[in-house]
Amino acid sequence: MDVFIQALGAVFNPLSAVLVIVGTLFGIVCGALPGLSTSMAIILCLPFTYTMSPDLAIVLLIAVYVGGACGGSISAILLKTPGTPEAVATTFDGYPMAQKGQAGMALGLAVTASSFGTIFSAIVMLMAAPLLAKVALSFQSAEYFALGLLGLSCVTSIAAKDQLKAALSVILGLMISTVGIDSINGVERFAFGQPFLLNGIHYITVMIGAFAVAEVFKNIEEYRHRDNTLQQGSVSIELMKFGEMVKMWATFVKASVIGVIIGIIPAAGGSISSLIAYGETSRSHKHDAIKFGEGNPRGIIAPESANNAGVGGALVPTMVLGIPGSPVTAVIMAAFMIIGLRPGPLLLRDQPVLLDTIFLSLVFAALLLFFGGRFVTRQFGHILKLPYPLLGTLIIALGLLGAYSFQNSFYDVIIMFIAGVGGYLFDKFKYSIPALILGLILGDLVENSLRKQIIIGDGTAMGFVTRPVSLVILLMVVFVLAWPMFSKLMGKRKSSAA
Amino acid sequence: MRLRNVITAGAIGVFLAAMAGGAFAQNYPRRAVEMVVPFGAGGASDIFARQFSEISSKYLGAPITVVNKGGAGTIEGMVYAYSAPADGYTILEITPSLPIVEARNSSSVKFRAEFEPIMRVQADVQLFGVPKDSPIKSLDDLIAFAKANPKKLKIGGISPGALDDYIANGFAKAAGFQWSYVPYKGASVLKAAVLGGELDVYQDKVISFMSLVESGDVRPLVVLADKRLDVPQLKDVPSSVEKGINFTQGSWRGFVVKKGTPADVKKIIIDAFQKAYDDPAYKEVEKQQMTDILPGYLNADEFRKSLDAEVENFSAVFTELGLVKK
Repeated sequence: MDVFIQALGAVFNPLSAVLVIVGTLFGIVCGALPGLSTSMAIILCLPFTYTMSPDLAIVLLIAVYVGGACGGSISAILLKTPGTPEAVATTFDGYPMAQKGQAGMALGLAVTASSFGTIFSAIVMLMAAPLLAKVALSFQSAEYFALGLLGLSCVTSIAAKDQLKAALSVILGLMISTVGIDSINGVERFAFGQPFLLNGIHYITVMIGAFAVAEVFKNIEEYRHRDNTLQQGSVSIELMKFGEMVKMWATFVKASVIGVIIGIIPAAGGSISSLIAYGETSRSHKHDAIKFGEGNPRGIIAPESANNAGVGGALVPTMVLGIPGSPVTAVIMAAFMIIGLRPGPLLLRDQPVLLDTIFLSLVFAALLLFFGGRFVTRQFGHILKLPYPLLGTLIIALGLLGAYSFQNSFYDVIIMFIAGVGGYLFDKFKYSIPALILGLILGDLVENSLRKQIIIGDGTAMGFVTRPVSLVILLMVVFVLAWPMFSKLMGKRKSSAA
Repeated sequence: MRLRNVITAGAIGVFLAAMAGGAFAQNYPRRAVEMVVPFGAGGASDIFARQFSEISSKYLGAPITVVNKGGAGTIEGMVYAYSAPADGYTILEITPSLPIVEARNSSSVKFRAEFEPIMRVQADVQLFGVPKDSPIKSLDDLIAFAKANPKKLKIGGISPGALDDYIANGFAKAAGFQWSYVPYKGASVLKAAVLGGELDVYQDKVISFMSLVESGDVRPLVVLADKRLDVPQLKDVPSSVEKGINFTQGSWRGFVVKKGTPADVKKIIIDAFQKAYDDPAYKEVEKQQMTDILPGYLNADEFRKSLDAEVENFSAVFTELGLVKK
């Protein structure tokens, strides 16, 4: 208890309150700008922490982390440009909802879900960090492979309209993910002697191109065919009633649980957990009045709860084992080292206050998001009132910025435009861009872990079924893939019985 | 009218300054210097570059901006520095990855032919260890087991055809046994694989290794160095050389500029970096990162010689592994 009170004093004082506000806002802005990732935001803050006490430094960095995890949804909802990879799934329903004129509601839901996910994961982290760290270690190559497959199987729910075209899109995504130096043998694949292809085609650039740039192309085309402005409907920034949100508590909790579990696993991250949470929610609420992909509120709650729940989740192995659970926590760990802390299994023994300080910083930042953020971020909704020529230019400018600043490379900008044209054609011919991105994100994980497990197993693939966790996940994959057929069959039987 | 006067005066001022600059070429640096880090933000090499540049900008008399160009496994950063003019305003941070790129012939820009060393600043020591419940108790156990069961032991590392791959295979070659190298995507997944029991042997640099030794999760077997390390927890760990295995490769970090940079400009950079290296603030950084255990400092000439020797070693091992591009 002493330790907790000590941490309380460190976190709740005027100076740290200022830092939380500044940090969260800075995180939101960086998160909202595609290409300026949360890890970059934390690196930009690092020089300021040199002169701070360790407690204050942690408060600031955690606030930036929470803000960044939430900020990505703003551009995802308003501009169909996920600001961070974690926000890909938020575009599926967030953007349609904003297009219906309910931008404020979509943003409010995203912020609420983000703060819920953060607090949920913070509590789980405080209660069970050492136990959860063991769970993280039970995930090895075999389990990563199974998890990657589970992520891929979500395609059945995120692109349910035309399963065949969705499957083709996933396969194309998987194929693109093989470009570059392969991660097991170091062989160049499909690089055609071009150095910029050696690192592969990253999903961030493709994502910006295929979502945002393609959307602009499409809108420009429609704009030319229509004389009036595109955004005729009024833009509402009304929030959803609190009571209505409470009714969907189950979605909040389920997505947060998924987010925490996937967050603690070192090689998986918020982008995978939000996709799986979205897939699972859309599967279990298939019969909602508003269809998924057309602005269903649960389609925003699920990915946003999940990706913010990953914040607390990813901090677990970082602190308990010294193994960062995500790229962002890797930077936070580096920051700890600069502050003078030694991350590793002994960190919590040597620094018992640390866990409580981080917990309180998370809760503090999340509460700020909930009470302040909802009202601030929904003001971003006004951006949709811009005439489309301006808005479209803005989106392309942001996309350029994002693609370039990702690795400070101009080649990424070229790839972004190619992806833009590709995404436009995909949309025209009703192929699924989300499915393609899913394949691109997971292709690497699936291939790498499959091949590693086979090396580890001395050339056999038995490990996938003899390891219990892997087997359970693989059975879940079978269930998810078989579910649509199964439910169709059940439906038929019912109707024939009646 | 006044505004125009101000503009004219300003223009004259700028013109004069430019003239003065032209007249005294050694008037370096007149603007911010760019430090190219051929890795992504947040890794050990990036953090080092940021800390070192902050200290040395004081002595250089100009701000140093760190630019991350992490694409194509350091090739993009190298090509970026190569395409900048040789005027000392672009400094490239390097690690063994760059000589490895040359040894594997994976870039058309030949690293040693296009860049001149400034200074090697620090060196890291690599250690091998096993998870705590492993039946292997010592290096002798390890070698005996590996000789009896070729390729059965799994050692992890980061990326194929990179430094960890070289160290694993180079050590095995020097000691006369074989094991399987399993490449991972990053340090965190690698550590998780060791702690979760997927890998038999763990390798890492001393700072990352220490935390797992202190907690008792990893049993250190050998230090890849000439002698034992002067660290209390590692004093009983034999060095590779004392065990008769002549293999001591570790990582290191240093700086180069493009070939053709004027000699006086190079000297200014070297002097500033030397002062930064001697600065107590930098010594503090080294202590924290445990990079002060082995002397890593090499001046420009020594650095060039060590690069030549390393490229030769890298070539030999990677040729054997079939990882050299024709």
